[in-house]
Amino acid sequence: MSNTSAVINIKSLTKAYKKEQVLKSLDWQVNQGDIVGLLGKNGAGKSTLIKSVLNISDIDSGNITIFDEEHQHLSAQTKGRISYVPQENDEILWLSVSDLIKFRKQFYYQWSDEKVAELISRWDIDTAKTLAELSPGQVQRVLIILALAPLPELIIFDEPAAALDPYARREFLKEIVSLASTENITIVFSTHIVSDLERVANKVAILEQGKICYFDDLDTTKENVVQLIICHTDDAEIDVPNLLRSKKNHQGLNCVVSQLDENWLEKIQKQGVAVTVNPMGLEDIFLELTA
Amino acid sequence: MMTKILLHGWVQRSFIILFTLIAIGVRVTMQDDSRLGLLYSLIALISFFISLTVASRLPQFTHSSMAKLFPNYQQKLKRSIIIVWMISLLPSLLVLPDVEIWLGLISVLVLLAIIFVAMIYKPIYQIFFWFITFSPLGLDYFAPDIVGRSVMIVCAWLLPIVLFFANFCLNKLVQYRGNTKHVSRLIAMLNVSMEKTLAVQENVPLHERTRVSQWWSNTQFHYYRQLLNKNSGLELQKKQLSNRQLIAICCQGVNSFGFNAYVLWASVIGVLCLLGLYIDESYHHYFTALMIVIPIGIIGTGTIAVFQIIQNKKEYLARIATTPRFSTPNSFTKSFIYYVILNQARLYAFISILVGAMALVFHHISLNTYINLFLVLVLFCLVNLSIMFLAWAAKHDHSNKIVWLMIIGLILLPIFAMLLKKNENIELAFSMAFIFACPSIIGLFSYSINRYSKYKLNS
Repeated sequence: MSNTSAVINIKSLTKAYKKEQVLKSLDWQVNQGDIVGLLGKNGAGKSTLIKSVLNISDIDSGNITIFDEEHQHLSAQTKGRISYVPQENDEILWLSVSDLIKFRKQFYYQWSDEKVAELISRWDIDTAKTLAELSPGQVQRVLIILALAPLPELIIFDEPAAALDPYARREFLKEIVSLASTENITIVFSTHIVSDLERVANKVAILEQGKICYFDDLDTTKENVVQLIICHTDDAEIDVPNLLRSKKNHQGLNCVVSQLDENWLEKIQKQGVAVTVNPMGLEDIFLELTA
Repeated sequence: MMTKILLHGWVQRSFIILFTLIAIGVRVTMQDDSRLGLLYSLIALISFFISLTVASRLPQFTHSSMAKLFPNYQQKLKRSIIIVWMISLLPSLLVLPDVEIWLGLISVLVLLAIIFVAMIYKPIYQIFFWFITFSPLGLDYFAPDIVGRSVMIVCAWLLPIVLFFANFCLNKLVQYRGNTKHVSRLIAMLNVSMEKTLAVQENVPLHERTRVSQWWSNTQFHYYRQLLNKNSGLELQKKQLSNRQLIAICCQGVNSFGFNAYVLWASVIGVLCLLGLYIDESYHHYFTALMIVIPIGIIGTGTIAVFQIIQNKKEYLARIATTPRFSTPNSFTKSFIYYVILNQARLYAFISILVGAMALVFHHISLNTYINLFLVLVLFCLVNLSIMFLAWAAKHDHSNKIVWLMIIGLILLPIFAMLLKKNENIELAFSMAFIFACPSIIGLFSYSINRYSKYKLNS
């Protein structure tokens, strides 16, 4: 990965709440055009990481750059290239959608009224209503419109689909895919719903114990992380490379590896040990990586 | 366990203990009856604090879904309330050895506690608050010869009936399940801590509120909607609204003390002043209670609401601060500080004008006392602003403590005002206390502004 295409670059990020260390010397880099799904258990620190990147909450130590500028001293131009959709709708509830759009427009130097009009018409949003009067799915769409109107190059979603029902969630994810393909926007979205990530992301990052413990292409991840069932009768220890977890049962040794070493597999099979390789779903992979 | 939960909250308990110690101090050092009024006020204040603490927890017990499942739940709750009631009556022992006054005071305190709890459960009973406020006026008007002591003696004789009534109310209270909608909102507002009281109210969508509330809020928001729409046609580069105006829009809530509130209170005081001009001067003193309660009420709403709304919107404001509009260093911080100071200065200037108008009509305070009061208001405003900025700059959420501090300040303010009225010859501006307090408070204010600016710079 070259540094020039890095949209977000985080080095040694540390953040604690009271005495609890949430982010521990975290390093991470998101490149242009990536659609990154940030996975993590509840309370893993996904929102903290996102808010730290956006300078919404302060950090204890470390260095964050967005579009090669330090996140605490972003220029107006760079700020205009970033949009954020929060986990919970905290927009002003007493303003109608049309007034809210006018209000948010005041904060940007670049704003596309055409895009706003197009999306409002496409998603059939009643702009005379306040956000409190719209359904959660419609609210989410309004928030996306507000995020897209300044024509950003990076959008960060914090658990965007958590409040939506399965239908609205699927629709929302479709929109993300469409955005990413037509607008070439870098998207980072946090979630703990693995199926959402599988539908949208091309990269997966897993936040565990204050660090990005895994970050790779989604397809590569699915290819690499596999389950091995090693059937052998003797008690001799088998050294499995890239082992994540192993458990002995009546079938033999049940292992999960982060990357299958083909040479090792060939070698062990030649020794007469039967090894079954089972591909895994992303949810199982996530559970294995965060176990 | 129930008793512990009913009296939960170390901040509240600290204040109760503090005021009890002050009351004991007043009682021990009291040589004659001159400070009896102060002692009664302190005892009533302690009782009020206990009632406030208990009332904020009580709905959790009475409307608990588990109430019907637990054995002897009602009896246990009743026993706990009686224990707390007894505790709240302990400070009344300070009026002994005057047994008649003591028994009378118990009657009054028990009745006040009943009214307070009733007000919590059914807002309609808030009418009793006004009844109590105006009771000295009514008593003076209908029975001007009656003195306080004879009232207390009557109350002492009424104690058995009051206790019987209290027992009846208590039995009803522990069984009470009514007014669920109001109580559930109340639980949401009060069960965690005072920091969330407004946040819960603010999150109730406008269209789900009563028509009066919708109308009231809309008149307040209308100005800002107009402001947005007036400028929306302009070019994007010509920045239409100022940074302060944008922050003001962010910080508006249904509980904001806005233009309509200014008009309402100005009208109320206007009517009072007209009444004051019309009626005989000998009745003017009946309005003294109102002249204290209204400014305090306005300060309370205007400061606590601003603090809580902003505290509630801290993250939204932080998000707004990351937009291109605020890319110049410190531009958000400067505009925010400007907005808050202007908002509060306007409020205190309004209070000063109201008090001045009332003083002109009712002559209840001299010009010197008015100047003294004005100086106290300025310092009070600076102290309030300081604690607000310090709280917003803090890494952790101290809202609960701050709101309590503000309430204590609001209670102390009229006490201080009454002391100033009593000693109207004092020229506060030249007194040592003021000369010492002034730089300290200005120093505290500057420190809080500095701290907030640094906090925003780092965040």
